[in-house]
Amino acid sequence: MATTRNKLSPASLYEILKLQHIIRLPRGSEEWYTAIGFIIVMGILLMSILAPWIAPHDPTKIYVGPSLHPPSPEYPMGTDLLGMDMFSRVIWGGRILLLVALISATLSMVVGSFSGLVSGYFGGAVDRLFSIIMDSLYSFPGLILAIAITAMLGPSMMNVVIAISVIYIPTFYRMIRGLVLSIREEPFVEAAKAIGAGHITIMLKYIFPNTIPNMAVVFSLCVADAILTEAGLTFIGLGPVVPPTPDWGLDLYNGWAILISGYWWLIFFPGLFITLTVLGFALIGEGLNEMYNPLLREM
Amino acid sequence: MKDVVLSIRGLKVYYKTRRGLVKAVDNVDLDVYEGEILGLVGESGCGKTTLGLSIMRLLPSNAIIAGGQILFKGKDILKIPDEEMRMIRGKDISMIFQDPMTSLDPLMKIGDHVIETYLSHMPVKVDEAKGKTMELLEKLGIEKERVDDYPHQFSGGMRQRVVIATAIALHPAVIIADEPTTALDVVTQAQILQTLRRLRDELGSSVILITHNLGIVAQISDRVAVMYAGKIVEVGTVKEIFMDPLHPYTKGLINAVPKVSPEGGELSSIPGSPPDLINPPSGCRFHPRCPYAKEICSREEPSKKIIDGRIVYCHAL
Amino acid sequence: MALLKVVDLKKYFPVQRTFIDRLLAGRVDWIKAVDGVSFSVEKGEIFCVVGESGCGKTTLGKLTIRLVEPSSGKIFFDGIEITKLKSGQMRALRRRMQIIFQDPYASLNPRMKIGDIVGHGLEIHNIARGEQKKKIVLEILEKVGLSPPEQFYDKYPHQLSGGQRQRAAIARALVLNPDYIVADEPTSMLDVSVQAEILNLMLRLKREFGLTYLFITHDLAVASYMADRIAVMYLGKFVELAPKKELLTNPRHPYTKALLSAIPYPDPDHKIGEIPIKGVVPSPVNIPPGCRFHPRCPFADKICMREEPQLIEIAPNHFVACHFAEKVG
Repeated sequence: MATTRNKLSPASLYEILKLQHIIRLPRGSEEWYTAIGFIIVMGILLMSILAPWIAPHDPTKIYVGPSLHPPSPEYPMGTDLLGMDMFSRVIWGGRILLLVALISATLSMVVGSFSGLVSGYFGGAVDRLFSIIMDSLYSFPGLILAIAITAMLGPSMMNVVIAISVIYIPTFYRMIRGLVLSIREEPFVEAAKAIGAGHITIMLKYIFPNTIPNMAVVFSLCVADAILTEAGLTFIGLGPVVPPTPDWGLDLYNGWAILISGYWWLIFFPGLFITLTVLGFALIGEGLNEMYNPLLREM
Repeated sequence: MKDVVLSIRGLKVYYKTRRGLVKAVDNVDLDVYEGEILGLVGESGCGKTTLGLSIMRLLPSNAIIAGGQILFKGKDILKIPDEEMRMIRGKDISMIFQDPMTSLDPLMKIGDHVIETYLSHMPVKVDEAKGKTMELLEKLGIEKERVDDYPHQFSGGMRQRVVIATAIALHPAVIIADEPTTALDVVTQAQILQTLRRLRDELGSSVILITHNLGIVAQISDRVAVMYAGKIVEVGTVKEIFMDPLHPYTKGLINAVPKVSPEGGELSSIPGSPPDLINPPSGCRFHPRCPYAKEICSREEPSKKIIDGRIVYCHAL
Repeated sequence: MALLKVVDLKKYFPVQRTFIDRLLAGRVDWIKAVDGVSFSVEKGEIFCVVGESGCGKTTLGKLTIRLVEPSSGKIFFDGIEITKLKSGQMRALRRRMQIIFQDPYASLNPRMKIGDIVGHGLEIHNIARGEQKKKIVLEILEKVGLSPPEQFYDKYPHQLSGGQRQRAAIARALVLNPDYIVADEPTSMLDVSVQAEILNLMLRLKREFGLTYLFITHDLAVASYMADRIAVMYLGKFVELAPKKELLTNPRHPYTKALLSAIPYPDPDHKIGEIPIKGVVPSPVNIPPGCRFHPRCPFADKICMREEPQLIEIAPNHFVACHFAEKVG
């Protein structure tokens, strides 16, 4: 373990942090998945947050460059029909997507988990009622459901958030309910009853905390899926954004129409970043899943 | 003097885990004689099951055999190719597992379990195999008419008898029984133990009985090997081990077993808990819990001592 | 005075059936886990219930503290008929009756620290909070042998060994200063050497705190170490009940005798002979008529198939449920 004397190089810093048990290299594939996913997501989040400072041009300014210019040193991702810089648009383009996806996923998680908790714990008529509602919702393909709701309510930002949340509520509900049904039978829950804990205390202190790891997994995967759904909505014209707002989905929508004429960069880069973001969240979710529910290994 | 039928020398079996290398079996020497029941005793995590699985070469994928040899019929069965081992497994060395509920295929008739054993090792026809199976089942107390029934139609004790039938069908030289009665109720357990004893007398096979239950060891073993933290600590006849244990761990263990008696005795216990096998204690692995520990015990691992024909690994003797 | 008194306690569980089965079968089958048990436990005694798995002893233990609701029967705790109490009143009484479970790995909330697990009861019953609570918990942790207690206070269950977890479970039961503790096979999942420690700890604590135990086990050897009185349970009913010495030296029920003869003694000179009973324990859904033990009993006669024997006192304090109890001795 060599430390460069007097110079705080990355290597020595790592050694020091490792000794203090703050960080260490990921061990095993599941930790690598989560780590890589985390880096990707952090990168994209930072990029979106710092967009005003790192984007070279105003993404909505038309004719910053010539129209439909392919990628070049000056315009690394080319320009679109109206001469807007694609590079800047890509840097800015994740904001709304991420915001909507994160808010929707959070909303789904809150509503789905709460109803799953109550449903699984109390059982009976409440459980049966919720289950029927959730099963019906669950049976709709996500995008179709989102389209239906958006078409009903109108394509505003809030309506899109609601539409997408509705899709994932049953996912959280089923997962939490299933977990609660099994945790409920565990001796430590009986022990809580024996010392006199009431229903609310048991649900909040004994059952719910044991569902958190699984919730984190579903949350990540849910965000990944929500991004795709939202991009999908935008792609067919039902999205919450209007031109000239920089949005990856919107750019896909615009660029698709004239793709046939060979202007590949209009959809390649936004598409790449959507894929990358989804991949990042999916990796986190899969990695966490492996960590908490490892595939049965031979003993 | 009986012959040695199986000989383990310097066996080291380690498991690769995320936290590190678990030294489950660490330099074990053990001999099994012809026609004896050898009780392999120890508490959870001592390595006895790993030892049993090593003999059958049925270790999980994260296990590595880091050294040693197991000599059977003149060959080191750790080094022979898989094909050859498969011939030995079931025919010369067989195994009875703990849980009769999961050792049998629920979709296979019980008779077929035994028949398959015959068919895969001997050039017999199905009818002949079935005939032998029915005879065998009858010997074990299962009505031969039930040969076409399914496992779920039997109780735990009967299922375990079917498992035993598959294990002894080909008259193996060595039968490894890993906690064969733990999942059964006390009365069935007594019956199965009688059966095992009877089989040993009739077949002349050797049985390695792996268990944490000192009671059943006392009941049917001829000799006993005591394991602790991956190592053998003492080997002796069953009378020697129970009447006059030498190793401090053996003593502690025997004194800690409650006995059915109207007068109590105070039950003594062994303070502390079994060590972490990733970083076991230096020197003798039992020294942190040993009432007789000396300075050398924390430095040096005890070597094999032979006292009155008994094998002990202890500095204090 | 009897601290606990149980009168004709029954617990029947409906057999889980699919919708179609229910439609076609029409009737509901019942698992008669506890099928009419009456007894009392004196203050300060250790009352052992012994039986094999499936006999209903665990359910019985949980019934006595109303962790499971009885199907019928009465339970009296310190004179109070707890079967009549509403949940609010019951909760206040729970301080005085506690339970220790069999599985040390599953009876502690994996997401709570040991200190919180043990001390939660104090908060629930408004006995102590914050620093006060911590002080009491540390004292109890010391008493159960988790020393130094400050170290164990902040640990999580997965950082403790099986024996240590069981000590924590005992601490949790003790912290509310109960009169009565149900110990449901507290050592069956522990190694032999650890078992001895826990059993000795429980005996010490009983003397120190003046506790009364209902000790449930399948192991007659453990029962003989701990018990003042032993009740043998079979398929939901007591078949024999006597002071320990009496039961072990003079068993009168064929089942008790069979159990005693089947236990493997850790003594090579004491070998088990033939076990005098045949067959296996029937399912609690299909309880044999008359005496439930008759299909396996070597003494069974016509009366045994017709009439269920009652628990009768055949010697001072020695109760047996068998038509031929006199003969069996």
